[in-house]
Amino acid sequence: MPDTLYSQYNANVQTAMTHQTLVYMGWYEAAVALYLVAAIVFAGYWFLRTREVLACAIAATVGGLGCQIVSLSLRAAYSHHVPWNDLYGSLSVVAAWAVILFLVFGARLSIWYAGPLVLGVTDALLAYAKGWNKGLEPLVPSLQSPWIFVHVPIVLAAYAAFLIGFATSVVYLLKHWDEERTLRVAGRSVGAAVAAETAALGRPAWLAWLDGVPSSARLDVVSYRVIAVGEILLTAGIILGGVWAHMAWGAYWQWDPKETAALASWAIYAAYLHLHTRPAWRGPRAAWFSIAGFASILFCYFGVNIWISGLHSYK
Amino acid sequence: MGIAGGEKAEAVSSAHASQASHAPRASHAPQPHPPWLEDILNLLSNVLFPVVVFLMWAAATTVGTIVDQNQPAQHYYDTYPLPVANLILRLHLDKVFHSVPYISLVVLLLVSMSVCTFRRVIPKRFPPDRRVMLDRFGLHAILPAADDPARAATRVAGVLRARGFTLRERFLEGETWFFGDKQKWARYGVLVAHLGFAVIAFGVFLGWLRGFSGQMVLYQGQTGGIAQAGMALRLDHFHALFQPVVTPSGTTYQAQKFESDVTIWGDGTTPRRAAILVNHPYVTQGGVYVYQASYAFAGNLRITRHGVPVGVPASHLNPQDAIFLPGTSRAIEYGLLLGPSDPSQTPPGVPLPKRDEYALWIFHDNIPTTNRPLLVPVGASVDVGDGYRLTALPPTPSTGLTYRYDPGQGWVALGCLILVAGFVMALFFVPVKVYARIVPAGDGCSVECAATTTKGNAIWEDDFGALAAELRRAVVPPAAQPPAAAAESQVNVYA
Repeated sequence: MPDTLYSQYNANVQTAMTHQTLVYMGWYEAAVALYLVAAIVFAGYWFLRTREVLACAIAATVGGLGCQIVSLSLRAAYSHHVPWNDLYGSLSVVAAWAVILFLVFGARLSIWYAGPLVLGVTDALLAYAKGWNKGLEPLVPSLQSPWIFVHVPIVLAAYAAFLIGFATSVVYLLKHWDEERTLRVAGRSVGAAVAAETAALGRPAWLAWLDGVPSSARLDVVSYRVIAVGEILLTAGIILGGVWAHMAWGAYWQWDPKETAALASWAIYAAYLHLHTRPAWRGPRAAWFSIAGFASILFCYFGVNIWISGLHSYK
Repeated sequence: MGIAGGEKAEAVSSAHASQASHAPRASHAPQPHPPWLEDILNLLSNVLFPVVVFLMWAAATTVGTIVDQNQPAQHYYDTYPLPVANLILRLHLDKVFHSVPYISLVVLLLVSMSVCTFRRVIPKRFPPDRRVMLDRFGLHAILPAADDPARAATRVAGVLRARGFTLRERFLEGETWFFGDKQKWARYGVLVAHLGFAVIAFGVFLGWLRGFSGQMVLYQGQTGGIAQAGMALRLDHFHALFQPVVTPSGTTYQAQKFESDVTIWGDGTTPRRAAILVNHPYVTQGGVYVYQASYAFAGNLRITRHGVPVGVPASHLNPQDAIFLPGTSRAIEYGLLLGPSDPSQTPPGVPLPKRDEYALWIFHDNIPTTNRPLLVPVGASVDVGDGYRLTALPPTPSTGLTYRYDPGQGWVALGCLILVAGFVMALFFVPVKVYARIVPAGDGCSVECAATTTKGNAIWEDDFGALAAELRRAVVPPAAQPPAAAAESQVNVYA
């Protein structure tokens, strides 16, 4: 018998690259390229604030998303199962979710200023995922469950929301730093107009785009809203995972490395939401908390999947 | 403003409290407890305290995640450098999740959460309906109205009601005041979420108190019992399905399905047959779940000496199992099974035999007698020496089953639902209290409006801007409306 029960029989094998693999990878690489273009155009939008530039950036983003959806759909059609059964597939879904949520939040909360960061990180994740593409492999028995259609996508959507929360928190810190610096400069100046000009002169030119970003107080609220969505998704994802574990492994909670790491991330974001109820903890502290939370998500995702063996070690 | 001195001070204080997101007033209330108890309760209900405990718990959990748990000491010396292994063992990092400090952190967290709930969440409410200085609110607007106060009041009430506010009208010192609430129920979201935790904790406790779980390995034809449930299972048949996977280093085989056909009796019903698969557990009437967890195909040999069977255990062989032949210095070491029964054991690149065969070593005086493993097809015999002979018999399949009875799982599920509902209430809805005051001024009047939320001002800034704009359209004469360009300039550049 194996050393432990609950064996996944997850071979994690690298399959031979077939023509079908090359086809879906072609669409995947088109998505990587288009997201890169979108990130660059969004960066351009920082400086050239026209509707045309924004439209181009959104078009490139939507184009990349379309290519990615085609790639995922082809992979699903070729393998006859969901495409998020390994690290490559799940990273691809995280990227797709990040882009979808960015477009939704962009439309609702006008967070286009976070575009270069969101799409830059997303593109980096997607490009990194290529190294983990193992081709088309059959689904292991433990993954042959309807729960794979809900648990995995919801958790990956939570990761994507936290990615956007990370991006808005970084923008927040930059904006906050700029506001504080402006206040300091204004305190030394005679008139407000002079102060503003002096402040602009004291700032690196490449940060001039910060003038067009909403106030730090509004950015703080945006981060809070995005993270609240992520936390609810993560909560639902963990609970659904528990239900699946109950059906597959005989226990809804086993302190598996992925479970405990996800719980730790959940706790960090829960702490963020609790602290956000205190005025003193809104702002820079909350933003740093959000960044720490995203670091924990990265550990939960990559650290556990790649370096730590457990029931969720799908590579 | 017409607010008397003493009342003014109170009103300002109230306004400041509102701007500070309704900081709890427990600290200002008379202290019913002894000072030392009050100090402890203040510490436990300080938001920073559970956050620090949370972080300590997260750090401990991370350590428990990274370091393999509950392994023998040698495992750590094999896995880590000597100083790290020593550190792990001396600090008991190999048993994090069941250690007293870890459980203490969880208990401390639950206690702190309970105290916070009773001292911060439950008392948290909007300020009472009374005169306050509206210009001290973070969100406020003053609108000059053309109408007389009565007509302006009607219009203000109409706008607020249309926006979903539950309104209360008061006449205070000759002025008309409106106090309105929206999504007030959402204040209880935090309480509901924490109640969910309590229900989950109760379910977990119930499962720990009255539940049981275990695992068993059954070879085909073997019977095993679950004493706590008074039931037994017999593995009638086990079959597995494999799928070839082409890899750069050759074809390998991956399990696609494995299924245990069992007969179950003693669970209050007549004996019944059942198929147990991964993700498809068998559930007894008493709520005991039986799960398919793992499988194996064990080696099966018959050992004879001079044609007479020898009573050495040679069935149910796992890799590296050794059979010492009595009266000799010879031994057989079982390697693995190659063949269609369990092709996943065949290394990639090795052609899969059409019939099952065993790879094994024969040792004499601890020295292998061949320079490569012997391949013995099922049905074949091999002379081992000193009169011994082994015959390969078909492999014996076995199944690994786990079972579990958890009377608390329904409570845990209920707690999870409550938790999610509380989260949605607390995070997606903003309880808002709005104030409007009609101040007579000459022939007309002015309308002062302010709002506060339990989540700060910034989260409702846009909505308040929209509300103020609508009130302005309703009560301010068109001539006094700000030009469209000015209004547009107030819109954020990214909006």
